[in-house]
Amino acid sequence: MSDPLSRRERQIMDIAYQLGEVAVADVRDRLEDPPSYSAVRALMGTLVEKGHLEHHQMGRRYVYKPRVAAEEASTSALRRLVATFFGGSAARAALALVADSEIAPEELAALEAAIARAKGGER
Amino acid sequence: MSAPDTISILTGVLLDAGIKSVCTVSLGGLVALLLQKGSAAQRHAVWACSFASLPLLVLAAAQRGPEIALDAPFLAPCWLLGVGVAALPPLLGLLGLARLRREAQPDSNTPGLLHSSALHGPITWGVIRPIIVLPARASAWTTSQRAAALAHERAHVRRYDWAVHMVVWLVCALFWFNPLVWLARRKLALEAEHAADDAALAEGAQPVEYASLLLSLHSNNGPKTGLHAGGSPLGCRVRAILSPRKRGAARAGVLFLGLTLCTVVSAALGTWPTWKRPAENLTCSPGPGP
Repeated sequence: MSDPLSRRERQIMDIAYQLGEVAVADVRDRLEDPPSYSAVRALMGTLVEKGHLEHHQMGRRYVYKPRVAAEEASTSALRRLVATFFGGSAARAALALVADSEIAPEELAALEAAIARAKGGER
Repeated sequence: MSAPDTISILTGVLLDAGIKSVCTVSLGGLVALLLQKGSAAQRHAVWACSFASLPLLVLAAAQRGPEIALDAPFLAPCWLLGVGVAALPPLLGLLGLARLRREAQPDSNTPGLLHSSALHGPITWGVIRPIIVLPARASAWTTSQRAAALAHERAHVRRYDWAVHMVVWLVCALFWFNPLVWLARRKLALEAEHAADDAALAEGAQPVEYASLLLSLHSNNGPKTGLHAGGSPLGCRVRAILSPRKRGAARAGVLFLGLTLCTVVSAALGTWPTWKRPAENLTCSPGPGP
């Protein structure tokens, strides 16, 4: 349950919480700019694997519902938010091995190349 | 003493100390620049000394009494509000650290070493009973990666970097209106990291492996090139680790020289009148004079 959700996964969870029980087609109908049916089914499969959704067969189709009730989920989301806030401010008040860690992709690539070159030089 | 008097004195003291703080920080920057070929520990000592002299400026200005009378009663309350806002993050951070300490798991072999899944990378704090916390992911590190990370954190402990970090934050809260002070704080923090990196390398960390470990701890939150001219602080450290340069601790001589210089400069600045006063106090009022 601790895996962070992607934007799409969060949208699917919101729909699942609104409707209670949903099929893949219900979700796809309500998604903005929806991906293909199989892509939505794959995303919902991932949410089952991550433990956010559970599913059972009803007739010829699968029906999904959230594993954790909405209230409980919002409490744990709030707790996570508080933990993230405190964790972030705590790390800033301490000395971190890597404190200011934002790095632009192009600089990251240049640094990785420098490390690779240095590795080559060591050999 | 009435409230308007107190506000007027405080305003004068702040203006006096604020103007002189620009000189002090600029001087610190100049000396750090001259020490560009020296070690990071030396430059860190210089920055720390210039921060140490800033509260002395306030004390000197307060003792001598305000030289500038400025008819701006809103300045002192604005300053106090700014101090409160600037001091909030470190105070919240201390609460966060207390919580982190409660929730982290102690290491069975090393006292003062904790493990926490709430962290992305290792952190350290404290002076009398210093604490080092490793992230849960450290269990996947090699022995040498773990040794390098611990050597870095222990160097911070040995150098009292956290105490300096907190004092500097306090000074920044007092001088929040001076952008140079915040810039100097960034420089000081980076030099402290360079110095701890140097210590880790001196204890046998392999530059390439150590640089790779640091880079693996980055968080890629999108392009932020504009924030850091000349590269990010992490990039700066990785390049420094890979390049051969002067490393080592600050010698006692440099510290003594830096401290003496800062004390002399503060004393000189502290006694120097901010503006040459004519026979009566310089009064700047927004409205037309009588």
